[in-house]
Amino acid sequence: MATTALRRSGTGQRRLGTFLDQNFKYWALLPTLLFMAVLTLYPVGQLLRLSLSDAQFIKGKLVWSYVGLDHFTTLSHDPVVPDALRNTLVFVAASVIIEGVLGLLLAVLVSRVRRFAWFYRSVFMIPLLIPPIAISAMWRLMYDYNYGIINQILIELGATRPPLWTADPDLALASVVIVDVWHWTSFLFLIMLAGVESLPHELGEAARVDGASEIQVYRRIFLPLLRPTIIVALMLRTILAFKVFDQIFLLTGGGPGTSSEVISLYVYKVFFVQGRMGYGALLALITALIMSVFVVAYQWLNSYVNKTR
Amino acid sequence: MIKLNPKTLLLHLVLIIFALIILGPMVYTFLTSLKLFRDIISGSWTFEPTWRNYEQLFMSDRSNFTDLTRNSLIVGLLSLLVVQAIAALGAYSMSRFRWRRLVGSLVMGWLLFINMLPPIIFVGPFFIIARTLGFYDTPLAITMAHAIMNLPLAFWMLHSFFADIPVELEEAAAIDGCSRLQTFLRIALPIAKPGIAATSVLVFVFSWKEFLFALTLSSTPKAMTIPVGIAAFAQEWNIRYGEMAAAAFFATIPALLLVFIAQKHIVKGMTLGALKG
Amino acid sequence: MSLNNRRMSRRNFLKGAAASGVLLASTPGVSFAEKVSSIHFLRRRAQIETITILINDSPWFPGFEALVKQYVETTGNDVKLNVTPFAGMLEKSRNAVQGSESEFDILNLNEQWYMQFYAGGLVTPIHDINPDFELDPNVIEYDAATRWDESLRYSSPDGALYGLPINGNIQLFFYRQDLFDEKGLAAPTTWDEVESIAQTFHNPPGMHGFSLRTIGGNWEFQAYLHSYGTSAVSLDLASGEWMVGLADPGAVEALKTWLRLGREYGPANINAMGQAENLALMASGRLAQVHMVGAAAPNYDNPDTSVVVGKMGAGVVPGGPGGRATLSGIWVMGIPHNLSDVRKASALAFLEWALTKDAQLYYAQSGAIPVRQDVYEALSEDPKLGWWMKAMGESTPFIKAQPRLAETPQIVEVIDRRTTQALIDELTPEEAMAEAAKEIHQILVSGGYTVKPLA
Repeated sequence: MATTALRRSGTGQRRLGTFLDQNFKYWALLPTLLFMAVLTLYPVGQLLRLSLSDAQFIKGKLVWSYVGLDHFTTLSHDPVVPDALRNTLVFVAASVIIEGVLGLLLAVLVSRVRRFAWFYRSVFMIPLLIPPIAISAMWRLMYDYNYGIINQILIELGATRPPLWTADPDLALASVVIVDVWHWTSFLFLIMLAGVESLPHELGEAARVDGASEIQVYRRIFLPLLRPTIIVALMLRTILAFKVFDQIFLLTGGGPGTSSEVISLYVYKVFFVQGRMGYGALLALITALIMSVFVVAYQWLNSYVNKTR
Repeated sequence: MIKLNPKTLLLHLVLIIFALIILGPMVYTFLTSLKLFRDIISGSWTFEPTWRNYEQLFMSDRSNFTDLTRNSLIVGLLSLLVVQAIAALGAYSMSRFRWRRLVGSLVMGWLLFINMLPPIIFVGPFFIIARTLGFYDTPLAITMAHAIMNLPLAFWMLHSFFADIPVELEEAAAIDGCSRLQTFLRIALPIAKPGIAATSVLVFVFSWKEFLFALTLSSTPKAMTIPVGIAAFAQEWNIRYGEMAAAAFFATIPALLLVFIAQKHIVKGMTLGALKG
Repeated sequence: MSLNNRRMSRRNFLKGAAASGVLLASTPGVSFAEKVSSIHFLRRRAQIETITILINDSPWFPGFEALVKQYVETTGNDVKLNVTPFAGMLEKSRNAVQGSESEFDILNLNEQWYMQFYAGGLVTPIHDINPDFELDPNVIEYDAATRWDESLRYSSPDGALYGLPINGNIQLFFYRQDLFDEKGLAAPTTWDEVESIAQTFHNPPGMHGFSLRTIGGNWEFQAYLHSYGTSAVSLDLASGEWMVGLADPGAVEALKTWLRLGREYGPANINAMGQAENLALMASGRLAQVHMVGAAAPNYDNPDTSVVVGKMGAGVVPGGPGGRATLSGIWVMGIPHNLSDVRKASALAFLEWALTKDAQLYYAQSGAIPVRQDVYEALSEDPKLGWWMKAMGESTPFIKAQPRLAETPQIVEVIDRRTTQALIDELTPEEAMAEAAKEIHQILVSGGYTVKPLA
């Protein structure tokens, strides 16, 4: 009796084991799916609900009150949102274009040196690994109108009225773009370098033998070959650039006035500084919608480029 | 002797200028961190170097920077563990087993999608979740946020590493009677070790760098990380320029080390999103 | 005289209790009356418990810490400090008053928060703890920062006493005494005088006549508003209606003065001057006059951070046609509602002691900002602190508070944004104030207040 029972339960265990093993692929993926669902779908649901409500923490619990479309009315009167949107677009366009050009240039240059290539590659990579807030702190010290090294050098060079950098409403956004270029050119450099190094250099050799100048080789032969890499890299960087927050938070705080206010910083201010969670959620949701369009376009483009590549 | 080709020389000259532009701010920050506040604002080129700012940062009983360093390490390592455990299983399943095309592209696409959305979208809801569940202002809250933020990257990287492992070894193990889990643990994981190491480096670095979640999910040194501390130096009514410079320089040290230790891995991780699709 | 003389310290009490215990046990001949009195004594003494104070780390914390040490030493009562950075204070204070029993016996509450704690009854009215409590008239109340009027739902001088001030931070007008002496100038009392003095000294980039705070500058700007007879928002005590003062013509005049002083005599980067930048400019010897937070004073005396040690003077913030005003940025201490009576009494005992003249003198000498008029006066000739303590005392009649509303963060954001937009010429002063008034009006309406319509 006892032995039979034992054997039976043993079989049961084995069956369960076999079952688990056969379905390994499902349960191995399950944690990923669960994690993603809980930490992404639930927040999006929260945002939807919040954007139609006012919410407040009372005794550690969130107390909701439905306000309908009130936040949409607030949005239509909010003078900061249009400025923030415009600044975000200007920031993204300017930094991506400059970083793209510099990244490609550096990639081509580094691909042409033999000695010390590892050194340049290492140095150009460093900014990507430094906390952006530390980068902002460095540049804040350098930009300082009265004590910063940039203006000290300009004055030594004979400037009588050095630029105000972050204090000038016309330069504030540009100052942030400069920091972004310092920080992120590396990223495009790395991608472009991978592309440049995989170019068929014998093709270039052949063209040179045929009397093509160096510039012609790059323009006529390599550039078309690099085009897919460049497009994908720029598109990816465009999407990442919308995340900008840290630099602006520390360098200008969005000012002077709203001259360097961007959407992510404004969402933060509304939600956390002013404590308007409902309205902040609406702004976050709109950001998500806009970005979704970009991301889907990128994914489509990327798979298209990959197919043709 | 090295032949001095003028063209090569020019090339190096240009590259050195760019290298100086990269290194300059770091050197300047380091020098500033050796100055007293008085010397920083006097704007003179010469000064007497002092370790005062670093002492203030790490030794002073008024400073909590050592707590912040501890938190940064805890958050980095913990989120690394969570992410690797989840991503390794998932990525292995995705790369080794036959999935329907739609499922595959949905999962991968979803991951990429999340990775690309600005984190500001998730900050509010995460804050609410952490508050409601009562772990707001703990390293755990920031760990969870960093885990979700880094999962896509880890998944993608590990996926590509697993895909590079030849299937034959695992097939042999299966014939020897290993279960799929055993095959994963004993064969695939050890082979993928370099890949896992590379992923770990990046996940840790990204957690170390992260500011927005750390800012919004912490309010005291119990949970604050280094970037939040650096920002705090500038938020007070008396900017502590010297300590800010010291803290900023301290925060770049891991980056400087990793560039030389794990350069290849970093390149792979950084460019993966653009090169694979 | 002072309370600590009347109350026996805990250590002495323990000695006494032990002694009386010995006495009770060993001498049967002791009278009943004596026994009763010693028991009574025992009960009364037991009413002082160890208290825990929630306090933020700040430039004045070392002074507070010294004060607490002094209390423990002179009274024998134990005090624990829970030191928290500013960012965590509101959170911790809120959590403390929400539980069944507060973790802390005293909360340190910021200018922007205390009303929330008064309004909800989250801190105990002082007279509920001790009906005989009398606030020494020398203790400054900072435009009724200590009080809450239930019928008005706002603070008023007639309200009940809820909090006691602990950090007397207000705005001061700082100037270079050495340069003023050279030219035989006295501290300015009006913005016009500020301007003419600024003209004398302005010689950039080595020296600037005056500077403004333009990053988060609403706090200082509100002093300009008051000096032109208006304010951001105000409550009409008679009608209970809120009024947006930025719509007044005085507000435009205030903004024009602010702009003129900043543009003509400020540093080139006037658009991005925060408190820290102004402090640094003054400390590096490149600024003649500035209107800023009084707590900055000790920084000018520190040779590690300043090249103007011993060269500084301070006065009351100058004024305009509407008089002079200095805005308060103080901290008050409140006693949570969810405490036992003994704990409440123990907490009040500390606060009463801390507000005595002797304690406040010691507090000021230890680097904090006292809250008593007689202490400012006593210290006005002090060789080290006198230069700014005198100005603190003279400022008392001019203290004004910023709006104490849940919507204040939104309101001041509007002021900051609109004033800087005028500064960078995006808007004319008239437009800036009109737009700000509209926005603030909208904020108050959405907040459910009765608001006087804009003209």
